[in-house]
Amino acid sequence: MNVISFSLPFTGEVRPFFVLMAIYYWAIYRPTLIPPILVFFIGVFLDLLAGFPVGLHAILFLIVQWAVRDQRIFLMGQPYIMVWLGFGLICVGYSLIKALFFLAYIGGLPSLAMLMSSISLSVVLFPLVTLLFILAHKILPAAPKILH
Amino acid sequence: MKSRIKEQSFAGFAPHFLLGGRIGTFFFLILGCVILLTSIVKPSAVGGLRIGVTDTVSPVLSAVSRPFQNMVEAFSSVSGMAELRAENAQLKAENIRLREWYQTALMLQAENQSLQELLNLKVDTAHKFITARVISDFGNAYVKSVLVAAGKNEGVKKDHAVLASEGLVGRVIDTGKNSARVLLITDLNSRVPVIIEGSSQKAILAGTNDKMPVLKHLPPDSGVVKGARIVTSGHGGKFPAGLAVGRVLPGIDSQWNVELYANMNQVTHVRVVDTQSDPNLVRGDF
Repeated sequence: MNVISFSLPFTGEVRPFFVLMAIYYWAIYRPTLIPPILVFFIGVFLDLLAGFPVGLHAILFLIVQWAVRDQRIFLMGQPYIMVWLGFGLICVGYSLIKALFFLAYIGGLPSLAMLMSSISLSVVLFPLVTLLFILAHKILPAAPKILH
Repeated sequence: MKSRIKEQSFAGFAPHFLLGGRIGTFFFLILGCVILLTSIVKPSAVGGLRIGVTDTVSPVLSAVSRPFQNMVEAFSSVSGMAELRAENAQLKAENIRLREWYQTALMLQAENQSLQELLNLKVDTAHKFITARVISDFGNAYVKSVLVAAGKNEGVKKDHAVLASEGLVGRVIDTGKNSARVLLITDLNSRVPVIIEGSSQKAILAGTNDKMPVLKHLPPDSGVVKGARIVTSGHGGKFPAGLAVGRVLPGIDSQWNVELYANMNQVTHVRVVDTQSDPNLVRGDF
């Protein structure tokens, strides 16, 4: 979804962070579904397709997954609105690191309005996308066994 | 009692330490840093892999993007119903004006041909267009490029100019067998030699990662006026001369911006031009 040509009217170049939504959701509710190896290859794949320096998104997604996995027990016990808020914070952190990288790499910062629009659109769309993830979660076989 | 999670999804594909936990994450973070540094220091090291992946995935992207593009086109046509009457009247008026221009163009073409024959002028060789669909749109805050569904098999080569129906869009920077990557003229790394019509002043159109690129290397007394038309100058040999680009608008700090004719966000099909331009197609009055 992050790499398809939508040409949506009124959205311009603003793109929601669909991959980030998936990594955030599954890192909380089923971390074994997307282990670091898969997150790494998703990131590399996105970089190769989108023309970014290869490895950038792999690192960003791994950091996000690491941060969320550390807090997953806390987040799982929270109401949905807190999970949603958490995603907003992750989007801000993700965008900030990416912007700082490009400041060092090409010496320029992207338009703040565009960044804020991407973050806002991602946060607004997050509940809709999580509905699909919840559906997928129900369809998937049972969660990994916990062995004692 | 300490719990441990039995990894099921990827068991058998990779060693256990790579599947989860901090060791796996740490390992891939280090690997990611190594690859990132390599791709920054030597981009050509990943160039082959990049175009290979793009080529492999392009049929899937093409198939998936088609319904979205159809949906957007359908939405645009429905939402525009209310404006159809006004647009129709405007088009009729424009049609009358264009008929007059057509007659003028025919006269000028005949005159031009006769003068060329008189001077025994060497005319530009024939030009070719390859029309391709945009299958992947990466116009984001950092990188401005698109993937098109035409590659070496269709005759697309590196550095070919790419046009939308309204004007210049960018140039081909990578070609696979069935796909090509186009660097948009709005990208920070894009530089296009242009000429300002009317003043014949040459300049470089530099991308800013924003909607409007800027004109660089203009002397203070360049005589540029607001609304002046910008076309490619053909210098450097990458872009054919005379491709319509946009019009000049005053920017901040006495800098001149260029409002592009092509709407980068709404481009669904592009034309890849080989080396010579077709003046009848690109010298239209926008």
